[in-house]
Amino acid sequence: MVTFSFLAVFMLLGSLVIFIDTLLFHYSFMETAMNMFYFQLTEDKLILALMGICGMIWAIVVDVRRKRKKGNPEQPHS
Amino acid sequence: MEKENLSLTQLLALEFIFLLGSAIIMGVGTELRQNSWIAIAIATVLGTGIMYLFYTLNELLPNHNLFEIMEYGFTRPVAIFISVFYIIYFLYISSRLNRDFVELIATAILPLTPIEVISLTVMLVIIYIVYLGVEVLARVSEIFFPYLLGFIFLLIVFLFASGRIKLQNAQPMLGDGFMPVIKGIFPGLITFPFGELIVFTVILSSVTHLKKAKKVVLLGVVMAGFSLTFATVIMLMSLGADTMEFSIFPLLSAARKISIANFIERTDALVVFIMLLGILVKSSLFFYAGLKGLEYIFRIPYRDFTFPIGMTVACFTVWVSANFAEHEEEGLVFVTRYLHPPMQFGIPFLLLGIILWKTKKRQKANKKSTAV
Repeated sequence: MVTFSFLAVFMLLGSLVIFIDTLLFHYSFMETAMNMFYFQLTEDKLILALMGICGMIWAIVVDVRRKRKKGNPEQPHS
Repeated sequence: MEKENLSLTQLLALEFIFLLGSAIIMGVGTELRQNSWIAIAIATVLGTGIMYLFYTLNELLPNHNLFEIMEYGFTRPVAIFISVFYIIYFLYISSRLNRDFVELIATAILPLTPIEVISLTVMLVIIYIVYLGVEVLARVSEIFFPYLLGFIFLLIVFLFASGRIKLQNAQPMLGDGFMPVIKGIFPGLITFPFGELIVFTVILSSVTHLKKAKKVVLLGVVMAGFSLTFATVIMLMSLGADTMEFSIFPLLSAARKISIANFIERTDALVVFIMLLGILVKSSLFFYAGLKGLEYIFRIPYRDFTFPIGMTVACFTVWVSANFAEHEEEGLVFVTRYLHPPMQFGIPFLLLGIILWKTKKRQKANKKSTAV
């Protein structure tokens, strides 16, 4: 669910940003989407990609941990 | 879900810093030139009314945050649908606030550092604070509250001492009549910063003594509004209407004018501190509110979402606009006119109406049953 929410938030925020740009600056959808990911320096792209990937991996890890916890509920102490 | 407790002092500090936040640095209503402070003073009175309505929403259903109140008013499926919009709204505003801060840092102190790095570092701090809980954020605000007041006071004293305050810069007042002031208030000043208090409908459920909080929340708005008005007057008198209107960070421009005996100069650090604290608190609150929405929808503790969603916000801090001019344009045109009004007034007021109607209906039913 955390991974799903991460992807959903990513997509919805991206859609909002693209929608605002197309509405305000009269760009086409593709132009706006390309502008969002356009950077002069490769390092900047890398930093952003790394942030996104870190978030994604973290979300998957949280989901796996939650699933494991659900599968093996803690035994009550006798 | 874990219950957090906020004291009234912490609530006051949070609200004060939240309202001053980016508004004092970026300048609000600067396009109104000599009338800006009049507009802010009027907007403060209206802002107090808005805060009272948001408080009433929480008072009707104590210990419920905005998303849970929506469930009571609209039923869960509808509440989930509207919550999605609120989550995106809160996270988008959080990204925009971070961008304000990133631009200030890139302009004032770290011009060679990539904004991606500044965005990441700020967001890591916010993630850590929010992960520890809103109580920690409130304690941070409580501790730094006197420092913030002290630094604003120092800036004003320094400006007076360096002879930069010129009373004639504040004239003429209401030169074009009262209409421009009204146009500046609606929707400009009423939505930013006062309408943004909608985020407190998520926080107020954590306040220990909600019944006593009424005076505190209203006092917070009045105090912040007064400080904002006073700061605008000082900026206007020190910079003049033209410079204030076209300056990106009017308070920073004013601080750069300080020079006392060629010794006390470069007081930019004070402005950066004010901005740092303001953005940290404001962005953290919006981020926290967004996470609480996710907690409500997925029924998973919000802490599990903190890092992944925080990284998303960090990315969108950069992606939200290509440059600062675009960022300002979006803020002034789209966000103020089309995004803020429905989220800050439309849905909450509709919700308030429905809850009041439901409460009256229930009271009538109770009266009937007791009469029988």
